[in-house]
Amino acid sequence: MAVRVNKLGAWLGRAEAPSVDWEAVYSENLPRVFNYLRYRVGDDALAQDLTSTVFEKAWRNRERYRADLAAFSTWLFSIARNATADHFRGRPPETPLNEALGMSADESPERVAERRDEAARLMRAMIKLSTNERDVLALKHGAGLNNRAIAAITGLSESNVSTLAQRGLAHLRAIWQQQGA
Amino acid sequence: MEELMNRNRKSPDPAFAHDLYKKINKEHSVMSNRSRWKLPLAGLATVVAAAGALSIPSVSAAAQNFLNLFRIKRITAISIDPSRMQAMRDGAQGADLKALMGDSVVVDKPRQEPQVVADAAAASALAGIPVKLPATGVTELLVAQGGSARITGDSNKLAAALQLMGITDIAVPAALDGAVIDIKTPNVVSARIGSGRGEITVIQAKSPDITLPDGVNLAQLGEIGLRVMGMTADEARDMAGRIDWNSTLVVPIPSNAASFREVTINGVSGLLITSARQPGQNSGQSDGPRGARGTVVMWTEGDIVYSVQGQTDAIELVALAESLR
Repeated sequence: MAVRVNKLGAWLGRAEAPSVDWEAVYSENLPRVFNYLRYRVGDDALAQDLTSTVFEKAWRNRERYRADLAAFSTWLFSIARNATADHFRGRPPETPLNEALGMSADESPERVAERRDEAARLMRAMIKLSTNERDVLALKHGAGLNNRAIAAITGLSESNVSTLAQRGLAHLRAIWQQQGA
Repeated sequence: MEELMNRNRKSPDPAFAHDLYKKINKEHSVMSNRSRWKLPLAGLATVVAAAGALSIPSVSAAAQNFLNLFRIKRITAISIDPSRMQAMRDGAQGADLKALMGDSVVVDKPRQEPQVVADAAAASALAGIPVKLPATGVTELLVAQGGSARITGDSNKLAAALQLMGITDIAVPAALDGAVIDIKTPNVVSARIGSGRGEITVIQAKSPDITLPDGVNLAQLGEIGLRVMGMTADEARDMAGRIDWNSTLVVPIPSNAASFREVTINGVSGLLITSARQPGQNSGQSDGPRGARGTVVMWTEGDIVYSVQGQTDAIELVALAESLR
């Protein structure tokens, strides 16, 4: 009698639906989701709020997650993208800078200047990108995902992701230089 | 610009991370333990692996010991008592384990040292399997040819070995006496992708063949193996009865060293194991996008078992696994 490794799927199929190691998912994805949202909305406090929303929503809807359709992270980032879309819904495409940075309109010029550090300047530049460019760059450089993973999350082809990322970076560079001028 | 963006990533505020975790955890803390062990108890967490496939950075040495044992004893994948694993790792119980298998081990063909090969075609020719690799980044390709051995069982020695381990409430199958178990370990192809901290290793091999004579009850042997791994009598009996021992290869996972979950690799179910953080690694709340946890993903296609492992994140590892051609 030969003892063999059969297809994993064959025996997985006979077993219960898999459960998710929530602790591992949390520690692995919290910084990714948070940084994705920071680069999407340009504000740490708002990114925190949205991060909470994403993880709470993921947990509440955990039964809807289907391992046969997507990796858990892909599912989590689809929630994050929806949360971002919900946030911007009904707002003008170009969020006012002060709002994006969490600054009140009546902040003193000194205070504004204080906060105009590199990160803030980067966020300002990010806000000026198109939604698609910002989304891809936030996934790539905020969440630290590669093109394949981004393609799975966004539904774009890998080559489209690559093109958008390159175009977004070029656009961002131009805005950055303009800001410094 | 890319560097600027990467540099400006930041870890979430620890207080925020803690509070959010607490908030979620309050709801799921009761489920957490249940979820974690639902898999083993259902037989699902009996982690399938291939020869040479189990080597999570955090548990590599110990896992390798178990893998060697596993090839011969087909011990089912379970949550392992770390102290027992450590004892085995230190070789403290090596003699007992040899005794457990009987000392009539005849190596017909020793396992060969790995040879460096030039490319996938050469690896396929030498290993006798269609080798899959990523399109770029392979820095080293090795093929280790498998061996074969025969083991003759000895029920008295097995009973004595079990007794030494404090397991006295399980019957040793008499049919094991004089039974010859043939083992053929497969040719294993190992590809190193990249280098340094970002290095990823792709391992692929046919599953090992273990042939047993009629009358040797696999489930019975499996139950003994589960006991040796630290399961209670009830747990071992329950789990041994749930596993299809003719088709399931099982890997032990140290309870304090790794977590696991199912993933999909090109439409095929696979298993992702993430090792616990190593001592000395950043123990803060956030791993950052390039966390230092060791990760391994394993899956099978036909009769080939694949393993991709590295100190990288799960998404990257799964993406690489899916890119193998």
